[in-house]
Amino acid sequence: MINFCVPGTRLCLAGDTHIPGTGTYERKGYIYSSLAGIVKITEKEKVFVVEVQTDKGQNIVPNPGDVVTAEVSVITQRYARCAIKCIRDTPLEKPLRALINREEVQATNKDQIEIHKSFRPGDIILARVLPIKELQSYQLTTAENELGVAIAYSDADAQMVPISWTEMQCPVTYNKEYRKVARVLPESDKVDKEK
Amino acid sequence: MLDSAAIEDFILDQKKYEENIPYESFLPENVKFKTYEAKLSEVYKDGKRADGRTRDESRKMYIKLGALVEARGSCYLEIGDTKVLCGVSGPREIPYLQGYTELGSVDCVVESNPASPSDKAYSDALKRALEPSFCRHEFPNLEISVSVMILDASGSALAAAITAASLALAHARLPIFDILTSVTVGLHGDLLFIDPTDKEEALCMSYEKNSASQNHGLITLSYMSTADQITHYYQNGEMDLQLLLDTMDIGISRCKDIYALCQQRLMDEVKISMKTVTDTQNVEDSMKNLSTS
Amino acid sequence: MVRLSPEEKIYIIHGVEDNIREDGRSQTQYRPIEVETGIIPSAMGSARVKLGNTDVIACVKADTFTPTWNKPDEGKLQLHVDLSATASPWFEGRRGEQTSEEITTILNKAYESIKLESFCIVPQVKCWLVDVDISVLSCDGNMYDAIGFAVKAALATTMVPKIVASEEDEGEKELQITDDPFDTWTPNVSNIPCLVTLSKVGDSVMVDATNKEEQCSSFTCILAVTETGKILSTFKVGPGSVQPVTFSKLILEASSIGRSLHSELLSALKKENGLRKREIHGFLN
Repeated sequence: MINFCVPGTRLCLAGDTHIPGTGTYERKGYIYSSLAGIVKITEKEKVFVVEVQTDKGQNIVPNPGDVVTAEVSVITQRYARCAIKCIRDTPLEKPLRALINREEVQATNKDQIEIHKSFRPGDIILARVLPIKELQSYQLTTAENELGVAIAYSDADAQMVPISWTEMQCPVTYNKEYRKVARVLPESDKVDKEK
Repeated sequence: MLDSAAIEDFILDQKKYEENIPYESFLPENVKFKTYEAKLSEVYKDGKRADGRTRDESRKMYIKLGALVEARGSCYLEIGDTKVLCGVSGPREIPYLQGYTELGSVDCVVESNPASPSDKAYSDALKRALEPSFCRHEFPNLEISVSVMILDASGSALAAAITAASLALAHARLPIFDILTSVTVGLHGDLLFIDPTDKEEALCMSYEKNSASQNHGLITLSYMSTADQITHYYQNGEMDLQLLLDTMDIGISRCKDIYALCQQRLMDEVKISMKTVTDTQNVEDSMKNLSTS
Repeated sequence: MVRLSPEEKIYIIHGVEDNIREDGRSQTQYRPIEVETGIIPSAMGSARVKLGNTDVIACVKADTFTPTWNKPDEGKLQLHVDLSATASPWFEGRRGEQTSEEITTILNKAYESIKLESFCIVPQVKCWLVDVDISVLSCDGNMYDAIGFAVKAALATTMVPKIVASEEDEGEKELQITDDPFDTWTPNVSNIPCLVTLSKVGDSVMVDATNKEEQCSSFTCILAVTETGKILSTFKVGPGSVQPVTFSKLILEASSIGRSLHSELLSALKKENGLRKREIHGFLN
């Protein structure tokens, strides 16, 4: 049985057995819907989570721990400013500003990090959102093997090929440039693993 | 033959034309200066208003959700002749933000045609009305953009804008605590006019000097029915205290009536919009049933 | 404006609910109000109001204008608010201009429904246009109430020179300002309202919020109350919502508070008027 709801619909009693999930809120002991959609009740660890699913997907806001795709816009000695373009698999309508501090680029050798040897403006990077502090932009980190520069273009406007964890090479001019390279698993490997 | 007096008159007239003179001042005397009774009977006569309604009837409302294809959420609302179109987009970053805001904000812009009244006041009022109904804690540092175009302001324009904006937010699938509904109630003498047209609003903002009761005014309020909260309230005019409170109660009960209509309309739209999702689920369920049986 | 930590907010909210605020006042108590009129001698009327640390000056000037065809015997009252950056660094630049525009709009709307037939000189020919300029010198919350007092006090002590209409031939009237500098008239302020700002903090309703208390308010509204307790206009300011039941109580309280404010202000002005020779303190103290 499919239950439709609109914002303000009272769904059920809140308590130990039922918790409000996405698209709902709790008020005076009851769970109400805050979105227009279908009510879904899922069981998680002996507790029912009440959610509302909509056709337009979830409201995408970067939450701490999410992996995002961003484009570097400006670099300085202390930080790299970038614009978040996708959150997990969902592209955003409008990019969100974010910042990567010098200390968050790598997990090791933090005092020897140089931003201009890790990122350049125009690079597409994978990064993780850090816990939200009271600052203007989101804080990102690339201090993991799977995070870092995914796509970069050389001066000759050719997409560079990674040759090590710290270098990329241009296929046209054979120039090497320093980047903090991400360990992106190629698509074909993934398919093999599933099989 | 131009003499100095005529030239002076001409110059004075020119200065006069530099200001905005309403065309009504050029109407013939018998049309311009009507008696109070004549003005009142134009608007309300024999227990019926100019459009045939009784004093406690609202005009018919027409709601269309999804009127704007490009916007994330949209709503076109008509109350009688008042026509309002609202589009919602976002969330997006707050431009020129300094510092951190824990709660998101709603950036409202109300535009009207040159023929309709002022905008900035309406934009501020709409923002104040919408913000309590919006789940702001889910959008830190971000804002939702709401833009309303008042196509025809024939009374209760702000009330229509608030209702349309709330429905557009719900259509955009942005989290709100409840649908906001809004009404305007007018008072003239001891006559109450629910959902006044623009002529009736003008009457309610005027008073008859020699009459016994000097009560007059307009109340615009918006109300969240499930939470029982007034989110916007504007009153102007002079009213006895008890009359004011009674008028407010009437306004709130009218808000609840409109709420039922809005809820129904939104529910219809959700069912149609999620038909593809539900159809797929039905197919999956029946496939499961087939495979198990 | 003032940044408060969540703990400070809780402290203030609990204080209000227990009817003992930070400075010891109860929920319906105003801070000490000081009113001094006539501090700007070059203006027709002026008043300075100090409400705790909120300091406001109102300055009145009158001019004549030709009334509109549909209101031939009514004058106009225009208010303008200027928030100086000395009041608070928050009011610097564009933000101050925007805030003062908002306040000006609200004030003009609040005073819109006042009947101004006493401002008429000759119907359809000339009426008085009274301009009130308000300067906020220092802001510690509750600007609107202070402005309301200042406007009323300034208008109550304004001396506008009389304009005499003398009959000329052909029925046309010639208007002349009187030569005698002491031949003035004072506007009747009995229908000028006082502004009462009520804030809902926690579960209680209170008046006269300081800057810090304003941050903790979940619903604020301004009511323009006349001497008889009638409400001329109501504005909700800021975000927040309220239950209709609470709101009705709020309105009733505003009406009774407004009435007592009017009587206090008028008795103070009467006392000031009665002082034989009064030294104007102004800003020297």
